[in-house]
Amino acid sequence: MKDLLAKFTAVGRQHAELLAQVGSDPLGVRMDRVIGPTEAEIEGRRCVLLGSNNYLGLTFEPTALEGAHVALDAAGTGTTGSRVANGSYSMHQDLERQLAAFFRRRHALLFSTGYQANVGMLSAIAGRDDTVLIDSDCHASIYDGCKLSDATVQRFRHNDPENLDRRLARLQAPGNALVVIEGIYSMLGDRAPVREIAEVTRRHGAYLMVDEAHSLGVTGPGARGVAAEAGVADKVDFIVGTFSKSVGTIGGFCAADHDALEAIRLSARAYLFTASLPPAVVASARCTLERMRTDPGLRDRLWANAEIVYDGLARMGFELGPEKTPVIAVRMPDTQTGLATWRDLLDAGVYVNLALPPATPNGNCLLRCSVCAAHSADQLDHVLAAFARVADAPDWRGTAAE
Amino acid sequence: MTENTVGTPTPERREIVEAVCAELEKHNTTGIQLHEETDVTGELAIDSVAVMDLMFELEERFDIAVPLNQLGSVRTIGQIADLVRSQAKSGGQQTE
Repeated sequence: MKDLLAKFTAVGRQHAELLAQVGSDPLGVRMDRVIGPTEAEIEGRRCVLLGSNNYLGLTFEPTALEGAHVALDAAGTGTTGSRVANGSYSMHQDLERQLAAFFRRRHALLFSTGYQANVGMLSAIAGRDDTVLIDSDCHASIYDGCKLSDATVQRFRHNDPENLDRRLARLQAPGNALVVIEGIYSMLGDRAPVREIAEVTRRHGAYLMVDEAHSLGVTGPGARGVAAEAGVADKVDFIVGTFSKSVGTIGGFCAADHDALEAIRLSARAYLFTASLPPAVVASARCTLERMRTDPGLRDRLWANAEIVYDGLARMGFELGPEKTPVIAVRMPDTQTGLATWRDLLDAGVYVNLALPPATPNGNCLLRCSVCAAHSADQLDHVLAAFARVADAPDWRGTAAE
Repeated sequence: MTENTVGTPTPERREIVEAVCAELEKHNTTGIQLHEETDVTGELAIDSVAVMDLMFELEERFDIAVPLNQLGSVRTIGQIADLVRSQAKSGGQQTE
C-alpha cells in the first residue's frame, strides 16, 4: 500500500529546518497570557504585539465585553445550528441589519468566518459559464472560493487596471465576469486603486467584489473601507469582510444591494452547512461596529501610530511596503535573515508576523507588522528601539545596516 | 474569435519551450539543465505562486490569457508549452 501521507514529508522537513534555524517555532507561537489588545506574555516575556491585525484595539472594548457577557449568560455558549435550521437568533438578524446600514446596502449576510464569506460567496455566485478575475495578491480564501466555483478563473497583475482591462476586453465566455480585489492587501499593506478598477470593471459590464478585511474600520467615511474612501462604494457590487481584524472578534459577511443576496442564503454552502456565530461573538461585533462607526478618533490614532512606525523603520533604512498604512511589511533580504531577525525581535519583546513564501508576493520573506490604535507612545518607542538594535547588529545582513 | 483571426501565426512549440526555459532560468537556483521533461515544482522547487507569476510573462509574450483552472495539471516545461500553444491556437482565450 502506498503512503497516503507521503505528500507531507517535504512540508514536515521544511518545518523541522525552520525550527532548527530559529530555535523555536515561529509558526506555533504561544501566547501564555494576553495582557491587553497590544501586549501578551510569550515565553515568559511581556511582548508588544505588532502583528495582531487588531487595528483598533477593540478586543477589550468595555461595551463589547459587557454585551458578550450578557449574551453568553442569556443565550449560551453556542447556537449548535446552521442559519437555515436552528442557528438564527434575533441577534444574528439584528447584526445583519446593522451591517447593511453600516455599509448603506439593502442586504447583508453573516458568515462564521471571513474565510467562509469569500469561499461561500464566490463558490455560490460564479457559475460554469462565468469568469472570475482576481488580483494576483488576493487572499487564499479568494483563490479557494474560485476553486470551488465552476467558473473560469483568471489572475491579473497586482493593482494593475490596464492588465485587468486587457483581460476583460478579450473575454469570450458566454457568462458574466466578476472582478475580485481587496481594499488593503494583507501582506504588503498597499491599497487597491479601487476607483480605476471600478471604472474598468463598469466599462466592460462586469461585477466587482471588494474584500475590505484589512480596511473595514481602518479607513474611509464611516470606517467603511477603501471603496468608500475612494468615493466609489456605489460601484461595488459585493463588499465582503471579516470581524477578526478591526472588529476584534470572529465572523465574516457580505453586504450588497442585489436582492438575490437573500437567495444566496439558500445556495452558499459555507453559509448553509456550518453553525452560526455564537451569541457572545455576535453581541461583541455589534458593539465594536458601532464604536468604530461613531468614533473617528480611533482611526486618527491608528494612522498616527502607523506613521510613527513606518517613518521610523524607513529612517533606519528598512525596505518597506509601498504605502504608509497600518499594515507595514519589512522586507528581509533572505529567509535566513528573516528568521534570525524575527527571533531577535521576539527576544527583545516585540512580536511581529513572520511571513514566508508562497504566502507572500514575489517570493519575499517579510516581517509583517500591523499597527494598532491602542499602541502607546512608549510601546512604539520600544518597538522602534528593538528594530534599531537589530539593524545595528554587526551580523545584520539587511539593507538597514548601510 | 475562435481561430487566429488577427493573423498572428501560432508560435512554434520549440519557440515556446525556449521562452519557458528562459523565464524559469531566472528562478533556477538548482543549477540543473532545463529541458522539456523538467518537473517545475518538483525538480526546480519553484512554488505554485511563482508558476502563476511565470504565466504573466508568457501571457504577455504570446498575447494569450491562461485560466488558472488549467494550471493545476501542469508539471513539466513541455506541458506548460503545450498549454500556451493551445491557448495561442484558440485565439488566446479558452474557457475551462
